[in-house]
Amino acid sequence: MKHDLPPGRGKPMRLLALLAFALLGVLVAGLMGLMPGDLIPRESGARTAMDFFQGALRPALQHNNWVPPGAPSLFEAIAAATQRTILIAFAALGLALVFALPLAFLGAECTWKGNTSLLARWVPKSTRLGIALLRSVHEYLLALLFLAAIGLSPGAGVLALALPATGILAKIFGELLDEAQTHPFRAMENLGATRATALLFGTLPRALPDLAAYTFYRLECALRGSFILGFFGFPTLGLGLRLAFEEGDYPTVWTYLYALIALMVIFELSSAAMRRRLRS
Amino acid sequence: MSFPPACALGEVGLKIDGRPILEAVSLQVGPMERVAILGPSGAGKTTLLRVLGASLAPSQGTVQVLDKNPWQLKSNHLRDLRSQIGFVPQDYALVPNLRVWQNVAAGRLGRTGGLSHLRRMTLPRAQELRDLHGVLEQVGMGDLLFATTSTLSGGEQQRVAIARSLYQEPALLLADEPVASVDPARAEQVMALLVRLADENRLPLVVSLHDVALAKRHTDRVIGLRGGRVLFDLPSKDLAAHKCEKLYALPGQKETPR
Amino acid sequence: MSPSPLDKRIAELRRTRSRSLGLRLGGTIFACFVLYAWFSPSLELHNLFAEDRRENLQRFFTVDLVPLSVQRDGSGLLGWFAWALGVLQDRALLASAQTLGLAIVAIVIAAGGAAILASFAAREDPSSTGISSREKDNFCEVPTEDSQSQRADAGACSTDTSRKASSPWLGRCLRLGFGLTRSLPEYLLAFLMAATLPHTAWPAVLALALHNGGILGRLFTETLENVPAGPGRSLQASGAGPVQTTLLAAWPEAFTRAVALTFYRFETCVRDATVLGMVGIGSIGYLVVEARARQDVPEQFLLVLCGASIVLASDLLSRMVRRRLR
Repeated sequence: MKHDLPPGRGKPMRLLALLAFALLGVLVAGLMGLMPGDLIPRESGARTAMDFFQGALRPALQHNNWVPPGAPSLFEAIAAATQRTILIAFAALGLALVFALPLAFLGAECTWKGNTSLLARWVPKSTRLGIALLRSVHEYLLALLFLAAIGLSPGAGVLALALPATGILAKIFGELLDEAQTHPFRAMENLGATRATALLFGTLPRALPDLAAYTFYRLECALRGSFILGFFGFPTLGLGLRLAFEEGDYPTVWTYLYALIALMVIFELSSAAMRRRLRS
Repeated sequence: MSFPPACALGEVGLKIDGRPILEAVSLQVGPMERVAILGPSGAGKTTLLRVLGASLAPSQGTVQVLDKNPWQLKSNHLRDLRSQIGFVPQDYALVPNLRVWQNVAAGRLGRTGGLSHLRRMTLPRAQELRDLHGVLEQVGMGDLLFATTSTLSGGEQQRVAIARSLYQEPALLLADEPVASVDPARAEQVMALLVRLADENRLPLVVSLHDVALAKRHTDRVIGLRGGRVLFDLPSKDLAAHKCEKLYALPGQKETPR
Repeated sequence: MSPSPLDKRIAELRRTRSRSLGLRLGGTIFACFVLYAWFSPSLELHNLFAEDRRENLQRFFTVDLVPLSVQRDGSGLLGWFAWALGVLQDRALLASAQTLGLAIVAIVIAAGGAAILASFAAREDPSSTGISSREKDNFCEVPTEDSQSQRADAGACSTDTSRKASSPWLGRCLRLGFGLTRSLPEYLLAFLMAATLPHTAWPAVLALALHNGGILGRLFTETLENVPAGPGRSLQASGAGPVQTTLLAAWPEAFTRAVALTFYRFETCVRDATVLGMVGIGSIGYLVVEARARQDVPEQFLLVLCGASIVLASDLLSRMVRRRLR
């Protein structure tokens, strides 16, 4: 039975690497002053946690604080914030899609394969660098920057979400295009189609279900991003949550949390259903 | 022959990664001729067809397809030439998630068109749909005009691929192993279809095949290819059994006398 | 002119073609939402390009972005570099290092926890349904190329466990947990934890570790389940228990891929770590918030550049390691 033993055994290097990996974690944690003792909430923290979790059982159904007369009720406020959260996510992803697809084609191998011109040498490389750059700045950092540059408007949030999303979509789209079957593409080139035409009608339709499936997944990410934008002052669900949290109004926090969870569940379920359909 | 040949190869050699695939292949295909290329697996049949279809440039020798040397043409003229060559690949090379009519309409993507292709592939005019339907009727599939291609059987997909080639309105029809994956009865049908279509559209037809009997029944001429060389090039009726044995002999058996 | 019989036939064929209503509906809804978001007045996106916004933007690039010291002595680009060096030496470099450290600690915890939990979540599979579990959807299929792992987390969000009816309840719970932890925004987790824990970097680390642990857990589980069943079977035949089987048969096979996945997540981890500092201490994000409070736009910008460069660097590192592993 010995020959049947998995090949991975007897590789002490791996154990060593694992050990080094764990040690690195401990070492860095020590350097950063992260002590296990700090994982236990102090007395005040524990009380906050208690209050917070008690809020879960009795989420606020109306404003707990004073609001100016004529102000929208809590549910109206949440509904409006939810609408803005969704719209910002869609606006950002729509914008990202428009730019991601051309970028994906420019950066994909399949667009340039067999082309030896100078253009084919430099365009995909610089496109990929651009894609990496787009992705490298986190959307929340961008949001803060845009706040300073453009001012507090949903548009700034949309841009902040859209730029990194363009990068990641372009990157993944490029890979999906490269993985799509090349037979139709070749057949179309053989019947005289230009490379662009063959890519458009041979490669793209084949990859389209995968592209769409990934877009739906990204939509969930954009939604999470849009929610968090509220923490920086944008008028999404996160804003209300943060304000309530800072006032210690945990029941209201939980109302917002439940709204977020419901939103995420609805989106994940429908996006999963779409992806299942796209695969079949 | 009084007409110029549809294609002519002179001493064509082709190497891929330094390995010779074709060596000193010379042949001519006349107008309206039905030619079968016979040979064992790996003999270079597909490569030869691709050279004839102007999609693969030989490393040496001369190529004339439809009176032109494809490898001296500018790229737009090469595309023009290719749009006149119908090639039915062995794997059909259809886009499975497009509709049948779209896959057939792709046959005309080789014509100059630019953005009009986008319209033609998404919003076909009534006349275009009639043409597409007509081409599909020729292969007996008119009713599947709007079917999703991936839901078709292998045989049906092959017919779609043939229809795509016909929709090109080609001057030459090539088919790579059209009967490689069908049972003998269907093989007979497919060959008859190809020959009929070639007759109806007055096209020269070149088909690569394994089956000698099938080739003899349906084509005028057989070319035996082995190890990248032409072993024989005869009218079908003159093909004798011992030649076929030599063509298909396994390497070890080669010298065994009978 | 009445349509010919042929046209009628074609029209009928078109009418009776098979259509996926769900997909159409989904696509249409998607498009409608995007168009509504852009062209309805609710988000006021049209005034993104309005006059005052443009003025804002112009002022931002010509005035706001220039550090005060440079503005005072008019020393131009050279002065900017001197100023940037000063900020870097004083705090930005340290913050960058802290950001990296945050990501490292988080990924170690995440990978360790995920590896242990995945061993239980995937316990049944190598021996019983090793081959059949290969029937996976696009995103969950164990990719042969590491580039696909980038997309792997797309599958990780679906909490669909129905396809493994034979799995024990523990595995099912774990998989559900993996799905849940990754679907809450990690920033929110960090924010909530920061209120209860003492003032350290732990909330950020824990939030990152939890989120990535969920994703890695799911990916590890799938990797383990897709390991060829042969060695596991023979080990079981010689009397090994399920835990031993996973440890001795499945993990050695899955090891390389698990490392590749970890490095892939590391890159994302660094990216997220740049902002998670906003709720705790240390890291770039904290300094950004601090600079924002001082209305110091040039420093914010410099810090964002710092963040981008460490993300790019870790992207490069992760890519190199994964290429080496292939």
